[in-house]
Amino acid sequence: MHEEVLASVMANARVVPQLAIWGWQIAIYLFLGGFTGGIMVFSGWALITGRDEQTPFAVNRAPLVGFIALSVGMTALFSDLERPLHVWRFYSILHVTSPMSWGAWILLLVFPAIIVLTLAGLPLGFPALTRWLLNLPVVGKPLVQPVFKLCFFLRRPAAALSIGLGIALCIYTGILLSSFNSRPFWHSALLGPLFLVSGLSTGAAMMILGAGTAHERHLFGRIDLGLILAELTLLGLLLIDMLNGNAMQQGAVAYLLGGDGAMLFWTGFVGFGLGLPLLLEAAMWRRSFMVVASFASVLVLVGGFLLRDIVVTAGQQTSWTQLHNQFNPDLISNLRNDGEDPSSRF
Amino acid sequence: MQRRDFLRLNAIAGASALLGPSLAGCSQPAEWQRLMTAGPATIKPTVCNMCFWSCAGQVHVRDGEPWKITGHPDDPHSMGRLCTRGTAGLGAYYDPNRLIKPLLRVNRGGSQQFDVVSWDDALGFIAGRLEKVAKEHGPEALATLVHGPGAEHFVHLTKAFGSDSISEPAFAQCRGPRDTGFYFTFGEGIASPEQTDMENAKCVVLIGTHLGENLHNSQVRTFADAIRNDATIITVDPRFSVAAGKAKYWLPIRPGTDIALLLAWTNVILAERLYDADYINLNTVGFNALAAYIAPFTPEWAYVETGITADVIRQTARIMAASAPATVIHPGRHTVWWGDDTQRARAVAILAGLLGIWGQKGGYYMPESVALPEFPLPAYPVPKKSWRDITISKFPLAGQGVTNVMLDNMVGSDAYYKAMIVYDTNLPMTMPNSRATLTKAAQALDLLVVVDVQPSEMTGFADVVLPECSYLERYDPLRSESERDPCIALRAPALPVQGDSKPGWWIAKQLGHRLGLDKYFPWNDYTEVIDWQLKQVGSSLTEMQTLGLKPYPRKTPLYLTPGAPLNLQTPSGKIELYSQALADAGFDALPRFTRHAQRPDGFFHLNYGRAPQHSFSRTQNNPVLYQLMPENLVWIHPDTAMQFAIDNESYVQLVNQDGVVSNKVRVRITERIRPDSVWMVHGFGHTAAGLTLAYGRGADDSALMTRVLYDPIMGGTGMRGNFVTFRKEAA
Amino acid sequence: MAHYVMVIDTKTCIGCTDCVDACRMENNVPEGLCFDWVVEVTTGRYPELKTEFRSERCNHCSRATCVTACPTGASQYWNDSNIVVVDASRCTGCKACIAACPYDARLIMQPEGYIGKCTFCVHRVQYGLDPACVAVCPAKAMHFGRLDDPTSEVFQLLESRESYSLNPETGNEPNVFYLR
Repeated sequence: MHEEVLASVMANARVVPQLAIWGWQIAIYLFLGGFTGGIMVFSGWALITGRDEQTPFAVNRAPLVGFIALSVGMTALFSDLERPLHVWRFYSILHVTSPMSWGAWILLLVFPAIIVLTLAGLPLGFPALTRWLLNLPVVGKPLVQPVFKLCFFLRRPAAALSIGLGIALCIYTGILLSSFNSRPFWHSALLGPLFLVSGLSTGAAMMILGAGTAHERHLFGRIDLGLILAELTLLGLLLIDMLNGNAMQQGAVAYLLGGDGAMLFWTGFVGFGLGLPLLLEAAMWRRSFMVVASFASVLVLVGGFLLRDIVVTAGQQTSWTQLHNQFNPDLISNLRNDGEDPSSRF
Repeated sequence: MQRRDFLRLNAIAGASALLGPSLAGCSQPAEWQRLMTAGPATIKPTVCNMCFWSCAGQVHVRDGEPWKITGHPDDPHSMGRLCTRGTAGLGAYYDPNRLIKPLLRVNRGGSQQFDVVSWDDALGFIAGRLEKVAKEHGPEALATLVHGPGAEHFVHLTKAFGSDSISEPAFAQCRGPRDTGFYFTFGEGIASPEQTDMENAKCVVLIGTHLGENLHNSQVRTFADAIRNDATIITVDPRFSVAAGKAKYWLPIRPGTDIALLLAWTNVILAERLYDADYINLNTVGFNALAAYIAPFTPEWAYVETGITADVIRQTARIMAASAPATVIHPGRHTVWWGDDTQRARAVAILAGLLGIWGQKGGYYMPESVALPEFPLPAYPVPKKSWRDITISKFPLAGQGVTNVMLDNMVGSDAYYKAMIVYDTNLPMTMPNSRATLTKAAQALDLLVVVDVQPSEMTGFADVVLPECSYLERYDPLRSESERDPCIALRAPALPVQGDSKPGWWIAKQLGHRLGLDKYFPWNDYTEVIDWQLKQVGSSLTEMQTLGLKPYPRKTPLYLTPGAPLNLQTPSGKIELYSQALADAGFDALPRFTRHAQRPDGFFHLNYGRAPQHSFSRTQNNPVLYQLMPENLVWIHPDTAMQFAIDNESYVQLVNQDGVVSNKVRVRITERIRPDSVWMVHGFGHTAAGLTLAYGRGADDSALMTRVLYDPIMGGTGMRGNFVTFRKEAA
Repeated sequence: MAHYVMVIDTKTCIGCTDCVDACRMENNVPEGLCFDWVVEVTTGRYPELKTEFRSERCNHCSRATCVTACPTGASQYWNDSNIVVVDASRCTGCKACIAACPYDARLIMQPEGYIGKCTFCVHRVQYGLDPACVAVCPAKAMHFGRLDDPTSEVFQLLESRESYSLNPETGNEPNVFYLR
């Protein structure tokens, strides 16, 4: 028999779940980061290969969606910082050993690229908005118009850059987690490729949702089918990796396969996020139907978020330490006068 | 609650802005960065009051803010290292629940409540009632129950008033049997700190003493020395205590059979002639009587009673003898267990006597104190009646007032006592099964005064509650104890007084003044008394305010010369293995083993003890200690848990043999306890709602002790004869 | 490089949690949080039992992943030693270091939001004093000093006694050692 308890009381994150390291904000950020990365890859690809006619959404409209998504994601990340006013500290140094530092700088490069693509596509994609911008008093003519022209001029180099940056952004969201040896479930090199494929898949799903032509919808449907298959493969490899991993990895994967996270993992992510869209896209191999394709795409997007949320949570289920309070750690909250009604203690 | 956080968190609760804390903290360095450049702290001397060990300490104040308390480096009690409770002393000072105003019980429209009153009104009311009691019943009708170093002020007041009925639970609820047993064997009790020379011992025997959980500072330090020196530790405990974990031999004894084990050990030592015959001849009386008596109590006989195998009993006895005189047979401290406790202490003392450890290196050293003269005062009036009048008929050999006897004599209209002062002791949780009697006493007494720092359970019984300031805010009598290295330590105010609380000496003097006893308080400030005393021993208050602690050279040797006669204070001058005094009083001259009540089916021995984080029932509301141990647990063996289908970490209620139900308490299922016993830390389960942190946390063992086993010799209240079963919490 | 280590003797440690207490007072640790903690491990079956106490804290690893993971350099080594500290003025509270710590020794300071941890009481170490937890230990079970100094007590203890550290397989090279 082995009994291991804390002789003192510990109200740290490992013991008190509400003090967890990262929660839904980081899952949102990782999801939207990958999603934007996927959009950048496909928009860049469409631009470079001159698919302006066949894939109008990818070329003209999708970059704005990506820009908004990344901004929302950054806001989520910002809101997770314990000292948000210190955010500028990220840009006072490039700490080469820190993936998060790399990520911060990648984001700094991503924004100009995606803004160029957005503005370059705006006149064709969102003519009303463009007109409104051009007619803005004072800045409209002298500033906005040249900017539009410049962006249109720069759109091909920006597109090439976007493909690279998009892939980097997708992979980075995985590498950020997998760099933590201390969280055994995250510590797998497969997490980068998995998040890359998932990011591309959600990007493709967005293209289907917003598709300007039937061709565009059909094309990205087929692409997404391949990506979902790749994602399933990588997921399987990750699970095999974990099942054959150390005790902490096995513990974390057990949480997904049969524990508290199983319902969300199997039904939510594997079932509705991957399986169902895979079937639907496969069924539409020859001909795409807008309603069905849109439904499948929404499922892919939901699945994309669930993947991040599940991985973020599972990674925090197990660690090298196994601290266990013998005293009720909830009682410590009573110190801060946010405890329960004292009359309930008897 | 942290010093600065207390204000800080309240301020944030007031400001709702989410960014508030971030804005405030943005440009601030980390705490450690502040500390890197902080200036030196000022240091003020204190003597810790978190338990009775009274370690000398130093209060560090930086930029006007109290920072921390550390041990005085020269103090033999602490060696610069305060224990868990002493380190948390500032929590007692900052406890928001502290009493800071005098309270007077008033009857308003049929309901009773406390009114906040002025000191003048509170003291005037007390003096008026005391004078009435003295006039109608004599001053002897006042009883005073006390604890701790500040008690002396109220002991003095009571004696000046004309009563000698003074008692402390430290006797009949704690050390009484031990000191009585040793008194009838060695002619004196055991000192506090206990004179166990563990740092030089080759063998240490702990019988129920759980050093470790019991964090009496120098005891633990010297116990650790013994472990470091690879002394053989022998621990007798139904629970795998911390000390058992350090032991070579853990004897998980059946509860209540310790005397059988002690007799068997004695049997082995005599049967195998493991004693020094010359020493026995020179220094003991009654050896032959003992030898004849002990013969039947073989290890084989003891095995049946104790569950400890004969082999282990023999082995351990041989090690004790081989190591003697460097063998510490620890005399224990809280020794009121089964009602035959004086006899058990006698068995311990006899074993110590046979091993010849008295006054020997590695055994019991000879303690010495600084001879500190008493401040010159007129003689106390001689009481016409004494505590002895009501005590000796019941407990003929009680060496001092017995709290439970006094309490019983407060009930009824013709009671012996009519007034009571309680100082710094929480009787309802200290005296087993005392709440009903206390309630009746509170009805019957003309006056019940409680002096306390916090709104303890005891204050709920009072007519008048007087708020004493904490030990960090007051002067108290100088610490001058019998110990290894004689020294004097000063408790001086280190921090500003909170609210309207007052030092004990001020309260006693003010009451004395109102009772016309000014001649017993011929000083304006207690510092005059301390200063006078210090000047008699070559120091002064000014010097001590800087030093805090002053060591004095020993005048007598630490150890007695081996081979020389002991010259004890017993009637024979020798170790009384056979006690004629006990025989004359009608008690067993040699300790007798009696089988105690068997546990009923489905019930378990209720064992209890200390935790290193808490003292008695006095520290559970300390916000610093609360963070280390906010509740007590009931330890249950896995077999028991399975039998009752109890889950680890669930909450259960305990029900005793008389149907008394405890508050809910969290379960710890552990192999560290005998399957026939449960164990819990004493002092939890507070019912005083004013203790907002501690209120209702954990369960109170003393409330479950409805079966009290009185020691017929000295009146101790044996607490171990209680049994509990479990009631699962409705989920 | 100054190599500071803590050596804790489990033979004499009694699990009194005084170290946790002294740390709280010394470093003004926010209520409810702690920089160190005590683990009690019991093995065996009644009555053949063994209990060990371990006072645990940041291991001030020689290869600290919390330092490498920090995006701003707030998490850093102090003065060319292995003592890991967090410069609050550079800390964004991103929690990457909490995720990176294999010992779960880091926490968010309330209410300021910077990341707090055991500093080995570097404010005392700079004057040659022991950390507060070591200085208070009533059983004298804790020792502190420089392992790069062969005359130091910690060096001698680790030379002469059997010891272990927690999860050395993390590769972080932890510097809190436990004597058996």
